Amino acid sequence: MTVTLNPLYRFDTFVVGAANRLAVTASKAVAESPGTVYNPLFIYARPGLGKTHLLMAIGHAARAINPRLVVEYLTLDEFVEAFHAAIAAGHGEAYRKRFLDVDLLLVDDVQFLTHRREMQAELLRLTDALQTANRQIVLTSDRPPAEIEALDERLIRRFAGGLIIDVAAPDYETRVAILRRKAEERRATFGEEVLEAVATLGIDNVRELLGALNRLIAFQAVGDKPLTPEQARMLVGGEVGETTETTEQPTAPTAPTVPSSPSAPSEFDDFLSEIAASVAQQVDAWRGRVKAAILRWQGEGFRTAQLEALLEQEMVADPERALRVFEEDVERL
Amino acid sequence: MSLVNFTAREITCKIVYYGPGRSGKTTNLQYVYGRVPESRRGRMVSLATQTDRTLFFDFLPLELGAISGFTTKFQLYTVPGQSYYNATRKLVLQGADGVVFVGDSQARRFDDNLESLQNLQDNLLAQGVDIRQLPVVFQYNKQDLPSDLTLSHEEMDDALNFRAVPSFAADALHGNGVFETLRGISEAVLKRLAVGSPVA
Repeated sequence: MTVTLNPLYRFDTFVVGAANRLAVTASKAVAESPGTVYNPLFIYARPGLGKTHLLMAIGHAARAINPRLVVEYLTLDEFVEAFHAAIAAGHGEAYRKRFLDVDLLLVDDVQFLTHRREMQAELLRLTDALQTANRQIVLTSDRPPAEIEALDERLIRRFAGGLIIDVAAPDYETRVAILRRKAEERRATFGEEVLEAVATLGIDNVRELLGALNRLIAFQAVGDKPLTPEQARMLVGGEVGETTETTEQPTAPTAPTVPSSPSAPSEFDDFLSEIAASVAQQVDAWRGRVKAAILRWQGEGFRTAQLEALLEQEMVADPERALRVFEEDVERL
Repeated sequence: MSLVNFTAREITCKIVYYGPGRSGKTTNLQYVYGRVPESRRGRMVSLATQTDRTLFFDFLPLELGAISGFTTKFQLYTVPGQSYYNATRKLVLQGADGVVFVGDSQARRFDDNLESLQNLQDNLLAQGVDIRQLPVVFQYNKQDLPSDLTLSHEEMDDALNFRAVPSFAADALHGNGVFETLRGISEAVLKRLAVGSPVA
């Protein structure tokens, strides 16, 4: 259900510009003093502008300041799924208790609250309870609360009582800065004009901008000459297919046995992202099982600190054994 | 071999491309090599005869980077297809986490495909591995050739794929189906990553 925070999504990897400075400042303030400054903090932005990055960065920063802080990140869908599972198992109270023990709750994609009256009521209850206990809740959405269809007025008022802030599309300078930073992180070297040329193309979605950078990196990796601004513009503009046929574009080092294709970089990127999803799913599957066990045992009135401690670890070598041992302990004691 | 090393936080998958000689195993690796950014790939080791037939094996290491906190590496191997290199095939198969069987779709290579598949099963059995327990996918290469010379995807499945594992039509020379196949075997291998898989 709950996923771990992506280690790459930190404040120091977030490129700050005019369009997001306010959101970053507010996020840092919340991370430094959860539950005291802006509570709830509601961040909204179009997809691909860094909402999830900011949300997870808050979690990382808060944990760095206070490692004992209980931080939970989950998407609205996961929140709903956990709720349904708990209700179906008759563990509604355990579900509520689980979130009331969280010091910093990070909920992504709350625009999916649309027409979910039951979940809205649950979130309202939870927001009130967390605020009362000075615990922090941060939410993100692709639109402001008032534009989430059929959202309970009371929730809109609760969100407005904290801070609602948007992240706008990056301007030209920020786009250049993002490209420069990400190229450095990937240890790729481009002429300054190359990155500026790409920034002028007006790609205002950060995710797409990084996709464009991936294309540049992959294309330059198989070439023998550095990319020119014109080539970069054509490559990102999707016209490189024509140029590879007609001009002296870089070719793979093992040519002629390795064919070149305009879709080359994205083919590997697509492969990589699917593999990443698959690995994450397999590697983190144990967390879901431990959470389910916690819910079950809590519902039966047992203390589950031992199991909760497992979730604090990045990796448990044998979670099944840990669950077995806990079960044996319960039976024995 | 260790698929998941929790201590070193490393995932390593060894994938072997198997099949009759000249079915396109090396071509698959060359296509992948050409599509992977330099920073992500190691040197492709290819030992070939003067006539470009694989003499020993091809090896392509891929560094996929840190995924969910695990350094993820794929190692792609091919085996020499010719029947007299069976000792090399056995060696390369050792510790494989998954196998891509690259079949030649040409009708005239029908028997070669069957023989190679049988050889794969025999070599795995000799190492105590039941092919039914190992992630395997089929790739039917050279589907770009004229249809009167080749068997269709379905006909190839009927002939080779009794277990109905994932299978892919391909034209490895031009890249069609290459990454689809790699994705297919990778997914199959990674599904075994759950708890209980080999741990270092």
